[in-house]
Amino acid sequence: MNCRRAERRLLRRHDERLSPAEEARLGLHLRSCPKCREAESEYRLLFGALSSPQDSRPEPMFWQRLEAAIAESERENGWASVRRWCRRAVPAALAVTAALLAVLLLFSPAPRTELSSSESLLLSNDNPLEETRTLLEEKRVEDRNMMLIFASSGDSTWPR
Amino acid sequence: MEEQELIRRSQEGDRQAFAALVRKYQTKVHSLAYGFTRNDAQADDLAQDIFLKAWLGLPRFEAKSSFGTWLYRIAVNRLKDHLRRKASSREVPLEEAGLEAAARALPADDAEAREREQRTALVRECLSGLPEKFRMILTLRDIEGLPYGELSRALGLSAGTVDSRLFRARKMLRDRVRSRLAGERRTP
Repeated sequence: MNCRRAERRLLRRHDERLSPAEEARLGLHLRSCPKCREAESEYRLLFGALSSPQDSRPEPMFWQRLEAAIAESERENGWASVRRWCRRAVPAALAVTAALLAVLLLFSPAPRTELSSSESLLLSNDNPLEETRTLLEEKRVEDRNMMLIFASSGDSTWPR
Repeated sequence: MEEQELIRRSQEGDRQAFAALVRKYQTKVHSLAYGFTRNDAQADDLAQDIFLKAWLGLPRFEAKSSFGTWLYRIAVNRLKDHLRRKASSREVPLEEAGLEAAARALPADDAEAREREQRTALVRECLSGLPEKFRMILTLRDIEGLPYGELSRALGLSAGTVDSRLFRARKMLRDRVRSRLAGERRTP
């Protein structure tokens, strides 16, 4: 066993992680190696120093101070939640409003517009040429004149 | 009351249950923080912060590890953060935590106790000069006495890494103490 391996095993023995066989081999090495015996005694002092109790304890009223800090933190967290909620809610509200406006624009009825006389004739499926021909083919002059008068006044209720 | 019950009630917001958990662990957490600061007031502030983080994180605690290990993990992260912030400045003036303070604190006739205290102060001072990852693992293992499994979970390291890092940390500490002692012998 070399000294580096022996040092590893010294430390594993301190942690109680060495098998009996390994411990026996380490013991043999230590008997024959003054350098490793020195390391063993130095580590013993080191562990003794590290595990010695520290002269420190929590300051008085530890829980009372912690409870106050918890309350403070929860208040801050409460406000932070509101702020976070607002940050999310504002864009969402804007998006919903925009969507509603778009729907209104798309599906609102078109405004009523005044139709020209020819548009009215076309939409009411009247045939102005047919009407004119009927008017001109009228045999009696009086009737034709009357029909012309009514046609020019736009009254379509002329009895035919 | 059982610890599991205290944890469950704390998760539901019962502060008195959490107070019982704090009372159970406050000395350990304070001692851990003190190991890094060597200053009671700072250790107290850190311990308060660690428990506050634990309270805020409790709803997410799933009992995959023990409460103690989980708390140590929070403490380790908080202490790492603290050490990083303080990295450029020396945490503990020598006069405060070193040999002189230890010597002053003891009666002059108690030579053995005096020597022991001086050695302890020297070792802890050398420990505080180690790189953060070595300092952390040594504090948790050799001062706080965490078992290997818990150490591995608290640091988030594999068992093999814990083994090799602990070896390197102890060796480094031993070398530093040796060189300090050798230096003191040269300049009495």
